[in-house]
This record gives sequence, structure tokens and C-alpha cells, in this order.
Amino acid sequence: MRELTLNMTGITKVYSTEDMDTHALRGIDLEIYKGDFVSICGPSGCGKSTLLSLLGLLDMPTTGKYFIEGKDVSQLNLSEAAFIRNEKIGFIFQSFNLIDELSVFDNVALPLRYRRNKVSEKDIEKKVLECLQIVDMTHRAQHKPNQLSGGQQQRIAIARALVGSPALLLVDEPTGNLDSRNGDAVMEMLQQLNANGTTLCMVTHDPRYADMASRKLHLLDGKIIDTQTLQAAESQQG
Amino acid sequence: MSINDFKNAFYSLGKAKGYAITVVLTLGITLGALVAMFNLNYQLLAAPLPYPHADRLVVAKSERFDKQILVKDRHAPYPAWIESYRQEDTNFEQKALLAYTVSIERRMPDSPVLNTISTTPEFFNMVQAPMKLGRRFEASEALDTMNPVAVISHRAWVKYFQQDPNVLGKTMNIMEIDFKIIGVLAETFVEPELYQRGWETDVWLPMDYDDIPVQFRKNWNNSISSTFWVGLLQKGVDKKTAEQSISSRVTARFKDETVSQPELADASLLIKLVTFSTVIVGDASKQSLLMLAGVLVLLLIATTNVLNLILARTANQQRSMAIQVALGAQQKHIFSAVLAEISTLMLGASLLAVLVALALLELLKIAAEGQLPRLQELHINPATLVFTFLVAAVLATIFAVIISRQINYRQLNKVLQTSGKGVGLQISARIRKLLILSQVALTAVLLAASLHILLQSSRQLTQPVGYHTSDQYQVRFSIATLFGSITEEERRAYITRVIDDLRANPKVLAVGATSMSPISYRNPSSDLLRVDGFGDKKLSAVQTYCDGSYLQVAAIPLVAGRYFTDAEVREHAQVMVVNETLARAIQADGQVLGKKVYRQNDEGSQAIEIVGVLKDLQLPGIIEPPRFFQAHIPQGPELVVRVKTGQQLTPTELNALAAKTHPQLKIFYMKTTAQAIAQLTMPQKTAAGLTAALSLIALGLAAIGIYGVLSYSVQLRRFELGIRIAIGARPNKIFLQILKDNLAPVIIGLLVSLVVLIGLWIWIQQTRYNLQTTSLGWLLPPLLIISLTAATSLLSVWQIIRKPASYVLRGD
Repeated sequence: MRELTLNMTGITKVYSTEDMDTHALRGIDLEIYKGDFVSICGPSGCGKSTLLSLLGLLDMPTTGKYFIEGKDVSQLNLSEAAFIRNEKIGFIFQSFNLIDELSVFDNVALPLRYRRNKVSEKDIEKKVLECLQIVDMTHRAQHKPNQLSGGQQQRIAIARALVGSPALLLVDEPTGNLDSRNGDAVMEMLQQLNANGTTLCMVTHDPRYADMASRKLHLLDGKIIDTQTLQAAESQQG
Repeated sequence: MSINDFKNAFYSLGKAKGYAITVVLTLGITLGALVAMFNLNYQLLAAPLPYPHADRLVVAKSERFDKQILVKDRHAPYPAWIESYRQEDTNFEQKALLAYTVSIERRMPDSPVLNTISTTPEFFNMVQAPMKLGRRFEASEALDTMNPVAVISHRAWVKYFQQDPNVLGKTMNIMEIDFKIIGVLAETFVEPELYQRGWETDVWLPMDYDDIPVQFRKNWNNSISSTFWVGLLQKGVDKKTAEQSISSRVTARFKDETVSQPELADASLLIKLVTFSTVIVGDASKQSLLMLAGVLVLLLIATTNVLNLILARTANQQRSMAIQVALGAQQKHIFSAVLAEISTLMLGASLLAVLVALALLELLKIAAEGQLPRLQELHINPATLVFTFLVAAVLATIFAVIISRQINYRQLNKVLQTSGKGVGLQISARIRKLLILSQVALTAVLLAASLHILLQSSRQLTQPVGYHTSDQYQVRFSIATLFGSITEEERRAYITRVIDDLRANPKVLAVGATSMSPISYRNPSSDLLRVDGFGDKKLSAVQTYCDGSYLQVAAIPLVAGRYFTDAEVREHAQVMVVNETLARAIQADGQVLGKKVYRQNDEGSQAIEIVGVLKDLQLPGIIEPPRFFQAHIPQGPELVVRVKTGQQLTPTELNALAAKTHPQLKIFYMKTTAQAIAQLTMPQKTAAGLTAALSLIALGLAAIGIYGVLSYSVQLRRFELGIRIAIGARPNKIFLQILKDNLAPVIIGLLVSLVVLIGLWIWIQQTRYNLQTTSLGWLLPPLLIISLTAATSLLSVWQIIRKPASYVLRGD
């Protein structure tokens, strides 16, 4: 029996201003199991980033329920959300989002330094070097991010996302700022991670990379639609 | 810059009113203070005196030497002035004499006390005194004409005659003589402050009517500090030449006149000519420059604050700048827009500064009256306005240049190239830390310096003076023509009767009589003492005569020996008590009981025995001079009257009591002892008040500045903080991270300030100024700044940590 990593039901997100309400998500139901590689596609403004923010507990839903490994995380306070994010989720951003003033080593170690239960320096060093090994960047441990190429920075970002042994890796347009060669290399790494058991949920524009996932979800106007409905919508626009 | 730039600037600032108001207020207030101080310093150091040929107006200053050693730096021998005035001297266009005193007008209600100058006609010509009504003194009012006329000030005309246009020809009764008013000075007349700062003369009388006692008119060894000789040098005459001419004559005459006094065999005089401006300004320039320095530091703090705020605003405006770049704007267009906005703010600040300066100048005229000269001449003049706008323009340019250097023109377009999924510029930590460090260092120095001065002033103001102050009055009677018409013994007898009547009054507990109390409004007289067994060594000391009761009524405590008694006073016993300072000057261990001293001023003086040593007085801001009190009832004393608890005396009551002895006896000075001390300590209180205000302003500016720089710093790190939150940092971790990062430059700033303060303290030790530091003064500023840092760290990071991470990453 497959283990359910995360489960969303009836998730909505509404952004309210003085003038209007914007319904970014309109009732999302989603299940991701351990070991899944899920890609989320959709046109601009369909709600992909919002869904990813909710998945990563960077924001809270307006309504609906969200469970991570059976724990209800729908309406956590900021502190509790940070704990879950730190321990259960790894984030890979489109623009790498490394901290310029820290070395590669310290960037990767950062999630461990935020752990609820203090992690010894020895354990931090061991874990960081392991993750750098995975992404083949051990030789750059003392470099600063601005001394690395885009592809190298993204690999460091992957290492940082892995260092906490998260239940789920959320990946936001990982190849958006890379050339095709580096993009392919990063995707290859992600596939390898998934093959080794890491659960991945990826937002992407690129259909080539979307097809690399084991499940493809399409988002349109704040809802997950099936492929047939997508094709009908595309032909109407055509 | 174009009109369009300014239009955009106005519009943009209209949408950021809080920011605009903060900048305008911060700079407006501090720039206003700077403008006021510039005005004051300009007035004291650069502005010419409002008299024609002011650079040629001089005052004679006499120094008294003994065996070539200076023993008195202000010796004013009345006969020397008279003779020098009468003698022809081609070095001078004009010469005049001045004698300052206070007089009582005896016919007006309440017998007002009037500041009076007796002078020769040349004085008004020398300063070209403008008249409102009538005329100045002429040859008919010269020396030896005995013409009883008077010129009154505009102030006196308003106060005592209600601006009566028919005042000419009316009389004022002073010293039982009716003086006919022949002129009223114009309101625009600026009286030269040659005698005391803040002195405003009410009435001018001819020099024939000065009230110098007969025995001092011929005494070359006596100094009357309220008399002056002034002159207008001839054009082209060197001051030194004129000085030597007058000095050699006076020195020769001094020798002739004192030849029969063997104790003056080695004495000599030296006359110096000092310009009016040197006398008037005196050492006030040091004070005014210090105030200017203080305000400059405030402006520096304010400027740093404002720079931080502008930097934060620029960081916020990056997107708008990026759009302009995308549409073709070049670097100069961006600079122009920045300069336009800053110039708009500086214009507002300048206008506010002029208003603030106006208000501060008026406040200065009130608060610093009697302490700083030429206050009445302070006004906003064209030079001040030019200075204001010049400083504003320079600051605007500096700000704009600094801001422009922070904007990376090439990086601006990257802001637009993102997909909006959370990309931002992360800016160098070095700039951030430098801003915090400089802000903290400046503030800590100003705060610590102000606090130490304030604490010392408070200590001095609250410590016991060493003189009884409650239920007590200081009273002085005028004896008018009795001074000249009766003998000294008779004058003394009148005063003694008044004292006895006072003692018999049921309200009165005790009365003491002294020639001049240490808290007197008048300048003290001094004498030279020679001590038996100490060779030719002479000591200058403040001389005071008093009866046997005075020291006990004033309750000046003894540290050794005893007070002298009324019986010793009556028997003319040659006894005195000295204060600790004089005792230590005589003998280092202060053990001087039984020693015999001889007084220079007392011709043929016998040896006077020291029978007691008094504790030094602790008057705030006043270094206690060497003093002696000799047993003797003075003929025109200051009375110290202790009343029973809850009782009060009035001038009317005392005038009625004195009139029983003689109708000419009238009060011309009466204050409670507490009031007299308050008047004496007014400069100290003013300094304390100003320092307190400065400290509060410094702290307020520091709070704004530290908040500004920290919030700017956090703003710059917003995206980095978003990343940290995204990977699991909790809100308290973020706050502690920010606090730790902020405290590092704050601690360094505090260390820098400590080095500067220690340097300042070492420098102060070399000067005469005695500043005692306290642990509170050292510890409180850093504690305040660290607390401020913690509070503002929390405040500035609150906006970030209270929102979900996605808002932060998006830059919402």
C-alpha cells in the first residue's frame, strides 16, 4: 500500500483587496504519494505559484484541508508552519535563492541550523558533505554563490533542499534561469533523486520536462483539470 | 532638472507623506538650530559693532604688578582715569569717562532702582547714540560744570514715563538732586556692554554726579571696577603707540602718588588698550563656538538619519526606476529625478529652518540674557538666509550623489527581467554596517557628553551651597547724600540703628551686616595680603567686612577655630576668618590659626590674626576664590535678615522702618537669599536646561536614525529573510538573527565613541573646565542605544515575520 505524503481537499485561496477579490485557487483536491514525481503545468496566472506556496506552507489556504504525512497543516501559525517547512519540505526555486554572503557550505547547512532539536556541528558537516557529494559540488564548498555558474548554483540549491531529508521536494521552475544543457543536467539529477525514493512536486512551463514526471497535473483558472478538458480548452483558444 | 522632474517629485512625495514629513522635520529643526548658531557666531565673531569707527573704539584696562609679577589683572584707579581724560593726547580723537552704579529715584512710586551711568559728553558722540527726543550731553554738561541734567533710555521712557512725548523738562530725583531730562535715546540704540553682560542703563547723568566716595577719588591704589576710560583712536594711530603713551604717563603718576607708601615701593601699573569688541565679546566666543559644534554634531546625526531614509526609499523605488530605464532613461535622467525629489524636500526643510531659527533666536535672547553679549542685535539677515539655502543646496547635492552611486544602473533592468517569482537585489553588508556604526558613534558621543555635563550641573545645582537660604533676605540701603555729607562714623551709626530696629522687629530672628555677601549681585573687591613669616609673598583675596553676627546668620560653617564676636567688632579687634581656599594658599595643610596677615589696602595696617577657617562655599559653576572676612561694620553694608518661619518682609515695611532713623535711608536692593542664589546660578541652570534639551534632541534623533537605518537594513535583506523563512526559520530566529547582525556594528560604533570620548576627556583635563564623570554618564548612553537597537530591530522586522513567507518572497 502506497504511503500518502500529502493530501489536499477543497483548497481555495482568495486574495482580497479594497476593490475586489481574486480567486487564485478554486477548490483543489490533490494527493501525492511517497515516491511520486508530480508535475504541475498551466498558463500564466492559472495559480501554479499559489498552489506551490500553499504546498510549501509559505502561505495558508483560505478554505480547505491540507495534510502532510497525516498531520493537518491547514491553519498553522507562522512558527508551526516554519517547523513543518524545515523538517518535512525542501524547496528548489527558479532563481536558486542562495544567500550571497554565505559560503556554499553554509548555504546548504542553513536548514539544519533552524532545526527544533539542535544538530551538532559534526552532524551538520557530515550531512552537508553528503548532499554536496550527491550534486557533485564538494570541491566548491568554500566558494560564494556569486562565484558559481547558474547550473552550479541550482545544484547547490538542490543540495540545500535535500540536507534535511524532507518528505517532499517542491520544485519551482528549476530550469527557468538555465540554458538547455544545464536545464537537462538539473532534470537528470531530479529524476535520479526520484528514482532513489525522493517525492517530488514540480511546477514547470516546459512540456518536455513536465513529461519527465510520473504524473502530470494541469491547472487552469485555479482548478486542476483533466487532460481532456485541457485539450478542449486549448482547441477553443486555437 | 526640469519642471517635469519637480512635478513628479511633488506627486511622488505626496504619496509618501510620512517619509516627506519626517525628512523635512528632521532636517528643518536641526538646520534651523545650525542657522541660529551661525547667526550668533556671526554676530559675535564677524559682525561689526553698530558704531561708526568701531575698530578704533578702545577701553583702557589697567594691570597691577608687584615686583614685576601680575597681582591684579583688572585694577581701575579712578584718579588715573580722570587725569588721562583731562590730559591732551593727540593719539585720540575723543576720550570719555564712564562710572556705573545703581540709584534710587526717590519721588516715583515704589522708589524704583535705576541702572545709572555717569559720563562725559564725548561718550554719546563716540557711539553716535541716536535720540528719540531731545539731545545728548554737550559741553555744558562736561566735567566741573555741575549741571544736573539727565538722558534716559527708551526702555525707561516707556516703563516710567509711559512714552510721554512731553517728558523733556521733567525731573528725576536721584541722590536728593533733581535732574532735568533733556533727552530720550532711540529704541535702536545698542548700548555697548562694557561693564556687565545684560546691563541696560536707565539713566545717564553727567560725570560730575558719579557716586565714587571721596576717599577713593584720590587713591591711586584703590580699584573701582565700575569706572571706565574709553577713547576713539585717531585715524592711522597704532593702538600700541597710544597704549605706550598713556601707560607711561599713568605709571609715572602712580609712582609719584604712592611714593609715601613704602609697601607700594615695588608696585607698578600697566595700561592696555582693548577694543570695544574684545571687551564686549570677551570669552563668549568660546561658548558660542561650543554651541555651534554641538549643533553641527546634531546636524551630522540628522543628515545620517535622512540619508538612511532616502536610501530606503530609493530601494523601494527600484522598480519604477527600472521601468524608466527600460523606456530609455539614461543615468543622468535618473540622477536628475533623484535630485529633484531631494531638492524639493530640502526646500521645505530650509523654509522650516528659517522659522525655527527665528524662534530659537528669540528664545536665546531671553534664556541667555546676561550670559552672552550682543543678543539684542540677533536677527535673520541676508547673510543668514544665504547660509541657510547654501547649506540646503550642498546637502541636497551630497545626498543625490550618494544615492546615485548606490543605484546600479546596469542592474536596474534585471529587476524587470524576473518572472515576478521572487527575485531581488541583495546589497552589500559593508554599506549597511557603516551606516549603523556612524549613526551609533555620533549619537553615543553626543549623548554621553551631554549627559555628563547635565549630571554635573544637576549635582552642582542641588548640592548644599554652604550658606543659609530659607527665611532670609539680602537687603541693601541707599544713604543718598548722607554718604558725602556726614562722617563715616555717623553713617555707621545710622546703619547700626537700622540694624537694631530690625532686630527688635517681632518678625525678625537675626540680622548680620557685611560689606558684600558672597552671593551678592555686585563684583567683589579684593585686596593683597602679606603673611607674617612668608617673606614678600602676596596673596590676592576677596575682602569682606562683617559684624559678629553675619557669619552665623549666613550659617557658613567653621572647619577650624571660631567666628569673631560683636564685642571684638566694637573694640576694633584685628581679627579675621578665612576660607579653606585662602588657608591652603597661605599654607598647604591649611593650618593657619593664629597666623598674622597685613592688608595692602589698609594704610598703616596692623597685623590681623586669623582666628577661624570657614568651609568653602559650593556655588554652582563658580570656583570658590580665596576669601577673608574681617571684623568691622561697613558703612554701607548688605544686611542679611533671618525672619521667623513663615514670616515675610516687604520693601515698604523696611523703608518705613529705616525712615525712622533718617528719611533718606531707602532700600535699593532686596531679594530673598534663595532668589539671590537663583540669580547667581542662572547661567548654570540655563546651561543645564540647554544640555538637557540637547540630550533629548540627540536621543530623539538617534531613535529616528537608528530605526531608519535598521529598517532600511532589514528592507535590503528582505529577500534574504524570505529565503530563510522559506527553508524553515521561525519568526523568533529571524528576529534574533537580525538583532545579532545589528548589534555587531552597534557595539563597534559604541567602541569608536568610547575612544572619541576618552580623547575628549583627556583634552578637557588640560583645560580649566572641571568635568567629573560618573558611571551613570558612561553606562546610560550605551544601554539606551542597545535598548533602542533591540526595540527597533523588532519593530523593523515585525512587518516581515508577521506575514506568510510567500508575501516576503514576492516583495509585498
